[in-house]
Amino acid sequence: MLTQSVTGVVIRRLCLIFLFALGAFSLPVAARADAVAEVQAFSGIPGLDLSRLESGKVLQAKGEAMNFPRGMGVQACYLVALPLQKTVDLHRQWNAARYPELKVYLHRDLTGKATPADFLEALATVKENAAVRSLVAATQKLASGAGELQLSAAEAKQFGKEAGAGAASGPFPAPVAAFWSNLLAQRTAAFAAGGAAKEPAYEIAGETIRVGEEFARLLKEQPKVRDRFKPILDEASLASGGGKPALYSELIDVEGRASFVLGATYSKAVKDGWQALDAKYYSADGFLAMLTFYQFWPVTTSGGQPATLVWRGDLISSASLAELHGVERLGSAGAMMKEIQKNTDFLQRDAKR
Amino acid sequence: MLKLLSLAFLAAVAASSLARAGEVSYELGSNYSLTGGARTKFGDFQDVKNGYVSEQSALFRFVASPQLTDSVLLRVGAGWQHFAFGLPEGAPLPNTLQSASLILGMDVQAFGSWLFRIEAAPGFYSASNRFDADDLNVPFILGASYIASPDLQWILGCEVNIRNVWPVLPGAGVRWKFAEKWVFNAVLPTPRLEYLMSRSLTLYGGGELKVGSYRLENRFGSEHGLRELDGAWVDYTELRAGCGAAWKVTRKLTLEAEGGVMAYRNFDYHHTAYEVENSGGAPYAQISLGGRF
Repeated sequence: MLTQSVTGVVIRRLCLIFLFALGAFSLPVAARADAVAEVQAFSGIPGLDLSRLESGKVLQAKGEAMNFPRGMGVQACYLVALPLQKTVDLHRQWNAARYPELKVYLHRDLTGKATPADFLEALATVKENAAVRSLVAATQKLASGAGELQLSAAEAKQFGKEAGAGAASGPFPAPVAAFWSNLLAQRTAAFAAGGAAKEPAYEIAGETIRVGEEFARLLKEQPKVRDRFKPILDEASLASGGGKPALYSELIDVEGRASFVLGATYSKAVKDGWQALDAKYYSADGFLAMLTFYQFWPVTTSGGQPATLVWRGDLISSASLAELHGVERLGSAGAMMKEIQKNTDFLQRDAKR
Repeated sequence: MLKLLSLAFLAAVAASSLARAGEVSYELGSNYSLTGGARTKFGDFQDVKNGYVSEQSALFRFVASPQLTDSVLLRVGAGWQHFAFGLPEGAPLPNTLQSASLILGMDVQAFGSWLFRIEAAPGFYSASNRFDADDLNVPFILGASYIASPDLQWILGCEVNIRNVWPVLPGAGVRWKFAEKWVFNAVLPTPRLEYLMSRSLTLYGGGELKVGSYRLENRFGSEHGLRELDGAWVDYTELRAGCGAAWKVTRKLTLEAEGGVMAYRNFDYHHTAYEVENSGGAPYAQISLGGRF
């Protein structure tokens, strides 16, 4: 049971930008006694009540069932003992790479004009470990045509062609560092130029994966989320590019192997709080696409303190999920919730500092 | 046997109709193994006091799991297991142990991190080549699995079998992926240390425990000079240690081949004080085909 699970895949960080920072001050800060009821009605998370959330509990449930073998959704609700603006700020600044337990080996904020040199510089800061060595080994196998990583055929052929152009970068030998820094810069530029549709497709088990289609399918399967987050989804226009996303790259652990991830975050003030979206549009391993939605409501605790109620929904598409059936699939949702809980626990701990 | 399989098939079809459209998963398990002759002591009162016992065994199991709700899966299917022993003439052992049963159960996810399973296997458990109504038994298992993290799960459970000398047999296990390529999968009946050679090939070493209770024929005891055994139940226990490889042939099918030593075999006629054990090991080879789809 539970073997081959995809649950090493987790949300590592939410990076928000305050495009409307001044607007935040004009948000209603009055207690929203009905916020919990709203989350309850929207999410169906059982046992939601403010007193349980005030104790620091993270309440979770699976998302709407999907008729999409590669897809899975989970949701969580928690309270952060800070006012709305500070909570959004905390999420914006929170860096999972500070916590070794979360196995985020690198996090870098990017611009759409990030160059290979920017990535090379970031790679030099990575510490060597077994997961990174495993990624290096999988990358070096590209020279013999072995394909364990999620790359287009054209990208895979580039391996080794940049050799000699640079030096080793941290634990990455020169050809590996050059390969990834070029690939990540190209994919970042492509997303900045035209959204997910510009991302190169790649083959997984004979199937062509286009991240834009993965996003669309996940959203199609979650009509409640799609409707609630329509304002931010419209603005982000993930398929063709839109809004002003904050781009980032990460190196995370996926079941014992490090994986490069590229993502974009969006945020938007809405009438009763804030919404945010974290779209991971590329991962070298583990998952194909991931969307994390956040909604923040200002509330007042029973002690009269301002706090923020947070609903978080994670939608993931992964080839390995398609191989899970029955109880294994139930278990993988449970494991994914566990990882999200771990992240949230660290975030809540930081909120109390 | 065919009637039982037909019944299981009809039950699976009926259960599937309860599921939401398309949300039915299937589990297939099968294996065949060959074990060489293991030196066995039959007891002093027998004419045949020692001898070698060889074995062929086979198993087939099919379960359909319609998803009833987001957190509840039904389990409906059928299982068949057969042991055929090569015995010295006059040895006080049945040359066949076999079972044919329905599989009826449920998996429930609760509190996010817990999975519970209840599964009964009502059917015929016979120590002969045929089944009759007296062979009926309904062993069942109760199990719980706690997902501590994606890499660590704890398992608790028990088997309830009123025909066994231990009617309630508790057990605990853990599945721990402690390194990128290593998994300590200490879960009965097949505790293993696994090495993930690639995404389609796993090497493993470990053990296998085979247990069951079977009803002897009405004249089995009389024919072997121990009348108390007529129609009695015998508990069979077998412990193997070996290593093998699991190859994921397709996304849905896994083929395993393993070999090792059958280290322990026991026939416990627990209604009497009589039991038969091997006094030496024997090599075995097993091939398995499993699938989830």
